[in-house]
Amino acid sequence: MRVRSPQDLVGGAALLLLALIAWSQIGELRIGTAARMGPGWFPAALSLIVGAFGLVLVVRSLRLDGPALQRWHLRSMLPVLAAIVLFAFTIRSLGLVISAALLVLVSSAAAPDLRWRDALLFGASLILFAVLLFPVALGLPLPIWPRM
Amino acid sequence: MGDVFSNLALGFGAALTFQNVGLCFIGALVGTLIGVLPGLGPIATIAMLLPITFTLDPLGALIMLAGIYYGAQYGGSTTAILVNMPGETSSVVTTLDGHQMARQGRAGAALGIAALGSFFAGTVATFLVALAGPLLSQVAQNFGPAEYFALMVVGLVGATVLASGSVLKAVAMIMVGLLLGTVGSDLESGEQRLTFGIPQLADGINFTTLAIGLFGVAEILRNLEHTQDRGVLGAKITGLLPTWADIKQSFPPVLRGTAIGSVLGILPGNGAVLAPYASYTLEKKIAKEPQRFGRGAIEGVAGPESANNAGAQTSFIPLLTLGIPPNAVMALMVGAMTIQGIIPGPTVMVENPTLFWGMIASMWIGNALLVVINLPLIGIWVRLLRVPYRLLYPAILLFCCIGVFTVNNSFVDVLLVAFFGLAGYGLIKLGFEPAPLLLAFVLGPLMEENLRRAFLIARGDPSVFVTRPISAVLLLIALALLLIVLLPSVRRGREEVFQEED
Amino acid sequence: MRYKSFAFAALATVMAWSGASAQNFPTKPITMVVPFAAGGPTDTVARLIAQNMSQTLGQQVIVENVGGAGGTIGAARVAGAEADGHTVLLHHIGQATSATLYRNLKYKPAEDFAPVGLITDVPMTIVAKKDFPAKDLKELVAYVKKNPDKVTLANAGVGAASHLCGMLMMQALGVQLTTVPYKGTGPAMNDLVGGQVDLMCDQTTNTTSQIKGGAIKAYAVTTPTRVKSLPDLPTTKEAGLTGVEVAVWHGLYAPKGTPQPVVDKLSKALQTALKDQTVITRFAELGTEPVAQERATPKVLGDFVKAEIARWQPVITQAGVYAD
Repeated sequence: MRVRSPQDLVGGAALLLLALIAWSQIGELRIGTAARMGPGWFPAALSLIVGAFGLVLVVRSLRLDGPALQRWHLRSMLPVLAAIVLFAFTIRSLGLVISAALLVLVSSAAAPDLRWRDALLFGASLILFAVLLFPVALGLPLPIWPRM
Repeated sequence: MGDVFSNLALGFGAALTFQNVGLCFIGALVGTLIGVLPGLGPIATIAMLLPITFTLDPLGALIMLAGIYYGAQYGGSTTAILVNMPGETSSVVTTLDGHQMARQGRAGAALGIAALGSFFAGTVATFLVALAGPLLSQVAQNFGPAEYFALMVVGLVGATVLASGSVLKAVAMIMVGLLLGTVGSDLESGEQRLTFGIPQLADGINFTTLAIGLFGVAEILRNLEHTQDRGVLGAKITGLLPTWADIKQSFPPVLRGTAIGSVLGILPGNGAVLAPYASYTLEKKIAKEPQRFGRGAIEGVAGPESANNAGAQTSFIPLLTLGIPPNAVMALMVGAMTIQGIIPGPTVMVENPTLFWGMIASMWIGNALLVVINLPLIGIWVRLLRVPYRLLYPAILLFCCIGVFTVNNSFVDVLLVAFFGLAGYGLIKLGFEPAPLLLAFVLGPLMEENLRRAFLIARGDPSVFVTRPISAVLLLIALALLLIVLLPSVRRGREEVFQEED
Repeated sequence: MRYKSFAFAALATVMAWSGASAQNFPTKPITMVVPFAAGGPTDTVARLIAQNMSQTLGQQVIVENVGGAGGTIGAARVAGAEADGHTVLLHHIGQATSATLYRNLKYKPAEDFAPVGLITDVPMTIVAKKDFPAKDLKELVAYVKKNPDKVTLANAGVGAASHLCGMLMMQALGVQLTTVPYKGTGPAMNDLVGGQVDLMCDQTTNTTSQIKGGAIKAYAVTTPTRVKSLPDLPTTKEAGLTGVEVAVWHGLYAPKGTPQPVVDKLSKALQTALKDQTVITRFAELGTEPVAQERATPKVLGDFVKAEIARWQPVITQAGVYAD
C-alpha cells in the first residue's frame, strides 16, 4: 500500500493522537445518556468523532493523491517559541523590562537577516514604549522590575 | 412616531454637549488603540477606566465606556486585516479576506470599507434601537435554550463555508474546535474536564490565548520562513482608500450584513457573536464567483464588518431595556451604572429618559467619530507596518505576550500562546485551516450549554426541539445549509474517484 | 547601562524593605483583589469601598479582578501574597463555602488569611417568572411541594450565592427540584424574565430592578428583617418558611501573618468607608447596607468565617454537589 498523500497521512495521524489524548482524559466523568448528558458526554462524543475523521484521512491518504509534506523551518520556529516561553516564566519574577528584553533578544534570533545593532536599538526603544504604555499609562498591574 | 423623534431630540441634545462629545471621542480613540493591541480587550480597558468614570456624570461616563466598546471592535478589525490577528471573536472572519487584501496591497481599501460599512450599519442599528427597542426585546424573550441551540447548529454548519479548501478537513477542524471548547469546568457539576490538572484551565481556554497563538504567532512563524516577500502589506500599496468600484461592490453586502447583525444582536445571550460568520457565509454562498472568497474578496470584509457593528449596537437593547447584559463588556457597563447610582432595568427608560436616549444618540455620534478617527489612522498604520519585518515581529510578539498576560494575570496563558502557535503552524503545514476551529471553539460551549439546558427544562424530552416553532425552523435551515454545503463536494468526490479509476 | 539597572534595583530593594515597616503603612498603592469579574455585584461593592479607603489611607487602593473557579483563584493569590498589608482580598460568602465545595483547595480559607472586617450583608430574594401560579410564599410552598417535578430552579453556577440559597430552599421544603445552572447571573435572570425557568433565589443587587420593573414576581427576602428598598416583601420567617435565611456577606482579608498594626489600620479605614454617606447611599440602591461598625473588625470576621464554614458544611455535603 503506497502512501499517496503524506500530508493527509500525518494530518490524520495527528487527529487520531488528539482523539486518544482527549479520550484518556475523560477519566471518571459521567457520560450519561443523550437525554441526561453528563459532563463526559460531549468530550467522549467529540473524541470519537475526531478520531473517526483522523481515520478517514489516513485511509484517504493511502488511496488518493495529495500534497507532500511541507518542510518545518525549525531555525525560525524555535527562537520565537522559546522567547514566548521565557517571557512566560520571567514576567512575574523578573518584571517587564527584563522579560521583554529577553523576549525581543531571543525572538530576534529567528530572523535570517538579523542585524544586531538595529535590533538592540529598536528593542530598547520598544521596551521603553511598552513600559510607558502598559503599566504606566494604562495602569495595568505589571511588575516593571524584579521582585526582591 | 413623533414620540420617537422628540425622544431622539432629547437624546441628541444631551449627547451633543461639548463635554459628552469629547468623552465620546476619547472613548472611541482609546478603544481603537486598545483594540489594536492584541490581548488587551475592551473588558480590561473598561475595568481600568471605571474609577475615572466615578468623577463624571452618569451619561458622560456611559458615553465614554460605550465609545471604548465599539472603538475596540474596530481596532480589533484593524489588526485582523493588517497582521492576521483577530482582536476579538468578531474579527476572526475579517482575517480571512481582509488580510489577503492587505497582502495584495489593498489594506487601505479593506480598512476603509470596514469603517464605512460599520458606520452605515451603526446608523441603521441606532435607528432600530430608537424605534423598536423595547418591542424587539419582548420578541427576543421567546428565545429559549432550544432556540439558541438550533441557532448554534446553524452557525456551526455555516462554519464549513469559512474554509476555502477541503470540506473534510474543515469539518475536522470544527470538531477539534468543539473538543477544545469542552476544556474547563462542567456547568452542572463543576467537575474539571480535559484540564490535565492545570488550575488555570479550570475556566477553559481563553479565546484571546487561542486566537493569538493560532493566528498571530503561527502567522509570524510562517512569515519567518521566507526572507523575501515578508512584508505584512504587499509590495505596493495601491491607494489608501477604497475606490468607487469597491464601494459599489460592497454596498449590497453591507446592507445584508446590517440586517443580519441587527437581528442577531438583539438576542440577549450574545447572539451577536454569530453575526459576522452568518454574513460571511451568506455572501460566499450567493456570490457569483465564490472562489474569490478567502483570496481577498471585498464582500468578505464589507458584510461581516457591518454585521459586526450592527450587532454591537443592537446588543445594547437588552441592556437598556431589561438591564440584562448580553456579554461581559455590557456587564461592566451595568457595574458602571450601578456605581453611578442608576440601577439598570426596565425602569431606566421611564425614570431616566435623558440617560436612555442620550446613550442611543451618542451611539451614533460614536460611530461617526470612529470614521473620523480611523480613516486618517490608515495612513499611520501603513507607515508603521513598513518597518522591516525583522524588527516588527518581535514588537508584535511583545505586545501579544503582554496583552495575553494581562487578561488573567496568568503566565499559563502565555505558555499556551506558544503551544497554540506551534499547533497553528502545524495545522497550516498539514493543510488545515484554523478559522473554522476558532468559530467552533466559541460556539461549541454555547451549543452544549443550551442543549443540556433545553433537555433539563424539558425533562429529557427531545421533541422540544421540533415542537417549538422557532427552534424547528432554525434546525430546518441548518439541514438545508448542510445539504447545500455537502452536495457540491459529494459530486466532486465522485469525480475524484472516477479520475482515480481512470 | 548595566550599572544603572543595578542601582535602580538596589534602590527598589531598599524601598521594598522600608515598606515592610508597619509605622509607615501604606508606602505604596494597595491592591484589592476581587476574585470575580469586573462589573458584578462584588466588584461594585469593592470599588465603592476602595475609592473611599484610598482617601483615608493616603495611597491608591487599586481593584484587581482575578476571576475564576468560584473565587478560589483570586483568594489563592492573596493567600500566597506578601503579608505586608499591600495586598488584600474582598470576598463574599464563597470564602466559607469554598472550604467544603472545593475538595482540593491549595489554601485554607479559615487559616491562611488575617481577617480585617465584615463589609455588608446583601439580602437574597425568592423570585419567580411573571406567570408563576402562586400569589404569595404560602401558595408557592404548597405548589412546589405538590409538583416538585414540574418546577425548575435556576442558579448562576456551582458555588454561586443563588446556588447556595437554592440548596437551602430545597432542603427546607424537602423537595428535589430540577436545578438549571447558568454561567453567571445575567443569563439566569434573562431566562427567568423570559419565562423559560420558574424560580430563582438571588441577591437583591441582581433582582431589585427587575422586581420594581415588574418583569418578575417576588415572594420574600431571606434576611431576619425586611429590606428597606423592598418594603413590601415579607421575610421568609414572617411568611412561614423557616430555615431559609441567608445573606451574601462580604468581608475584607489580608494574608496570614500581616502585622497586627497594619491589619488594624486597614480595619479602621474600612470602618471609615462604611460610615461614608456616598457608600451608604449606593449600598441602599443595591438593596443593602453597611454592617454595624463593630462587625467591621478582625475578630468578628474571623469568628464569623469559622461559623459560616461550619454552617454550610452539612448543607453542601447533604446536597452532594461539589465544584471539583
